[in-house]
Amino acid sequence: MLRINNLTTSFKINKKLYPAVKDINITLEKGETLCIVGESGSGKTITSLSLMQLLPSNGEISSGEIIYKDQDITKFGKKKMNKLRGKSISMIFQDPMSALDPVYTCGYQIKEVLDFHENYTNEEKVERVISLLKQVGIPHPKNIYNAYPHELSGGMCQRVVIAMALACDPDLLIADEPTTALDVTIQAKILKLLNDLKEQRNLSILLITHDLGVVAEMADKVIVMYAGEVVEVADINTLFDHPKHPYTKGLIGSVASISSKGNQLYSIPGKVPSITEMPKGCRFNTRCPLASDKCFIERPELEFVTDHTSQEVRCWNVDTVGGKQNEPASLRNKKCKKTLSSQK
Amino acid sequence: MLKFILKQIFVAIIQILIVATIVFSLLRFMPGDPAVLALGTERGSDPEAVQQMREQLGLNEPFLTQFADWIAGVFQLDFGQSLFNNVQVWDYLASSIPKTLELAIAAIIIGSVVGVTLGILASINRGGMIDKLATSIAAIGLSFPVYITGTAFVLILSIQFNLLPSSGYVDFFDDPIGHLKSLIMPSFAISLPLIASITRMTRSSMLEVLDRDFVRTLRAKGLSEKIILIRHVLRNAVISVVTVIGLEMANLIGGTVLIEYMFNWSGLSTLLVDSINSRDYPIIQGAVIIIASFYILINRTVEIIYGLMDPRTR
Amino acid sequence: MSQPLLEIKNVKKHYQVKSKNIFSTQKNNVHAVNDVSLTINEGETYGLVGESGCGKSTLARVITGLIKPDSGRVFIDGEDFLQLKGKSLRDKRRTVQMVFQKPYESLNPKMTIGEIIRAPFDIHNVYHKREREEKVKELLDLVGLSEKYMSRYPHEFSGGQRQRIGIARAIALHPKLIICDEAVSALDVSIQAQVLNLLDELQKEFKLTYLFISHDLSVVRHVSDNIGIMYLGEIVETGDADTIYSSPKHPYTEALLSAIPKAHPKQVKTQKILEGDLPSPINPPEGCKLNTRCPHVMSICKTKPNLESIKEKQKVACYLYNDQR
Repeated sequence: MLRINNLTTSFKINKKLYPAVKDINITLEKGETLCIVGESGSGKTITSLSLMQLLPSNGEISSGEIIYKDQDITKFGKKKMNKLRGKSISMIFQDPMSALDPVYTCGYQIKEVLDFHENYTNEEKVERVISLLKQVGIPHPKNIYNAYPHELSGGMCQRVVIAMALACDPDLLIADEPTTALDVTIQAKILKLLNDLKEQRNLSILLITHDLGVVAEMADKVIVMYAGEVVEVADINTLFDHPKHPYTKGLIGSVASISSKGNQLYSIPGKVPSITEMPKGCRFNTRCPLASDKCFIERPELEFVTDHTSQEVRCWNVDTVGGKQNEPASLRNKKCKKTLSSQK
Repeated sequence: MLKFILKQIFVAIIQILIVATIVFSLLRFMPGDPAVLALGTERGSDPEAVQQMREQLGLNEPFLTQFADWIAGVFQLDFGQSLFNNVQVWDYLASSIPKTLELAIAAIIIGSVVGVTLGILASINRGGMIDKLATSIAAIGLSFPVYITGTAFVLILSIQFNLLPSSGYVDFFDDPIGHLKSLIMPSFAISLPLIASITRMTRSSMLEVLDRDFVRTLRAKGLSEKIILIRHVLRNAVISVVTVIGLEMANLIGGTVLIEYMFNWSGLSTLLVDSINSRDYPIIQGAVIIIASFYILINRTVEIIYGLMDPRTR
Repeated sequence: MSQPLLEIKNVKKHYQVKSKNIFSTQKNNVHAVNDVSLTINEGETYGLVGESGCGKSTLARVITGLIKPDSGRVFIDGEDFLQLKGKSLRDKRRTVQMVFQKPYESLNPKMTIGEIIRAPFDIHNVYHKREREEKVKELLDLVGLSEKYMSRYPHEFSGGQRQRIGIARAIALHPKLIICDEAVSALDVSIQAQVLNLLDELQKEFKLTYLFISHDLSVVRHVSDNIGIMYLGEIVETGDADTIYSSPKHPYTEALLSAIPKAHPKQVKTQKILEGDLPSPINPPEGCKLNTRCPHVMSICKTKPNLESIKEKQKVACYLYNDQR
């Protein structure tokens, strides 16, 4: 349903163009949840904003296509794009409290989407808004209709934002860190709501998060991003069971969890390079425990892994179909494990 | 909401009372006997005449009685008589209040319309030509004092091109068009610094709102840029602009002496300055209280409008 | 065992807020911290968990002496902290330090890193002036930063590095207790792991005691020996971390733990969802604070349950387990 081909989005900083995300490829089927995971600076939010064409004024899509239902939406004009946004593709954001206009009531702000996209009578719209509020699990929807955002808790605001996003029955929902600002119990409820809505409406969800726990709860397929590039693509179980890219392994190893008690956590040394100082070759080379000379010279491509057909990795040290290897796979895997365990 | 409004009115009354008390006591404790002043230098040296005058002015009564009488009068708009003639203070005030209000309102309207428009244009063209132009206009407006711009207007518009009368007040009922013509220059001269500060305020609060997260949500909803700007961004930005407009309006009520003199437009501030020069205490009291009351009322009104516009403060 | 390092007894802190609504202005009591007692032994890590508005940060501020509680006592090393004055108070304050959530906002942007870390020495006048420079270098080295950073300013650092600077400042005076108030919440996972490891190393090296405040249950689980669960200003369950995580008793603890996202997609879990959202701490419910949302609510829950031991290492404030009827 959605295909992103070789998307590169660049930002102008001090009059020079820097690619913030480079050669992104994403495919998303109907009814599927795709998670983009990465830390801050990995370019996951830029990817979603490129998709919605909501980039800040100094950013622009410099190459690639975004195919939505057989149409390249990067070629859409403003008007056509406005018709798409909020109707077919809608988006929810990180901080629900600041995502709503403080001077209008919640009901009005949801109704506004209908005003713009649908030809209903006013009563129909109000009715629809109230039924939407009910669907996202808001008690007393009629009271909430007339409430202002500041009168609601964060969880309630996020429900209102979700109701707003669903107002016109979109096919695709982009959720950018939808639960990061919320407490755990509220997070659990919102995630459950999103999963239920996905089931009921056969909705596709593009979920952006830094939290592997959220990924484990929600995803069908996962894309791991690092420094503006996709470094690994896999279905959810493969990713957690057999992560290939050293960054993915590091990320999974860093998570403090019930089982990590008492041990040192595996940690990736250093930090994400800034957009103006990207290293040559593989972008992870500054932090990678396996980095060899080649990794500093030549940029690896995203290629299918030999032993899992649905998994793609961008790394010189992993056996890939058509990838050039440095050494036999068995040896390398051992080495990889050793490096990881010695860090633990 | 009604409660909120009632509370604002209550606050206003208390504030006016406090001002009245201060004004009354200040003048009582100032050196110089009003009775002597009222009699003039010659008769003021005659103790008997002074005594008589004091009685006539009620200055013999105990302080609190004087105060109570005076306050009671103030609330009936009875500020007593001028010390020098038998004209009621209220008559003086009544003739100058409308002029001041007219000038202030005209200037505020010009200032708001031009300022808000320039501010919006500047903010949506951030860094562009229009933005630079608007901010320059604002800088110029702020840096020239009114007596310079006023004089420049007179030199250019009346003396050079003879388009408008150079000065003088024309009564509206005698000559409506002449009246409006005579209003143009003073109100424009006053409005220049207003345009400047309102432009700046509008621009900066528009930019501040444009940076807020909800604007992105609105774009994601697919609303057109025009609706986002007017219905949402401006609606949020205007809340702080209204405060500035209110403050400026309040300042204008007593702060237009220079322009009033220059264009012979004798409003409240002219009356106040004149009466200070002649030490006509009752008029000073009356003028100060009226100016202060307007100031307070405008501020309270701004507070109410603020409450109506921003649901968070209700 | 000797006396505990920190003992808090019946600390209570209420705030008054004016809430304006359309009809009236009324004063309300916010029960930020309501009758909280807890004990932390030397060398352990006590994790304090709760959702936003549960009063955990207020409690931290009471312990550091930044806020005076309405009632209750705080003992540090057996001395009543709240009764101390003058020099003895200042000396006692040195033993408790804090690491804050937002590393950037807690560092003065106009001071260099060297100055920031040296400030505690200057304020408490320890070490000779010439020695201080050396000590700062040592501290930077301890937290894994190069000494060449000394003359740089906070904005030149990343979030993780800033948090290291905050930690260096906190350990400068050799405190016994460090309060970490959401110290790793704002950091990315890989950076979070670095900082958690650092805290762990420092604890071993200096025998530090941590009060670790966080809303992130996985992180708390990773670091804590004992934990306390707070709900609306009260501790509802406390005890040994392993016991509580493996068999939570209080319905709120159960719900909270079941809300943790799973660590692996194949993990099966049953979620216990509480009805409704967290009530506001303004005028909270009478009795057990959970009685508006609890699935097991009984009539007795209208009166406040006490925190009672049910096992050797577990205390719960709930009538399901305490037979106080």
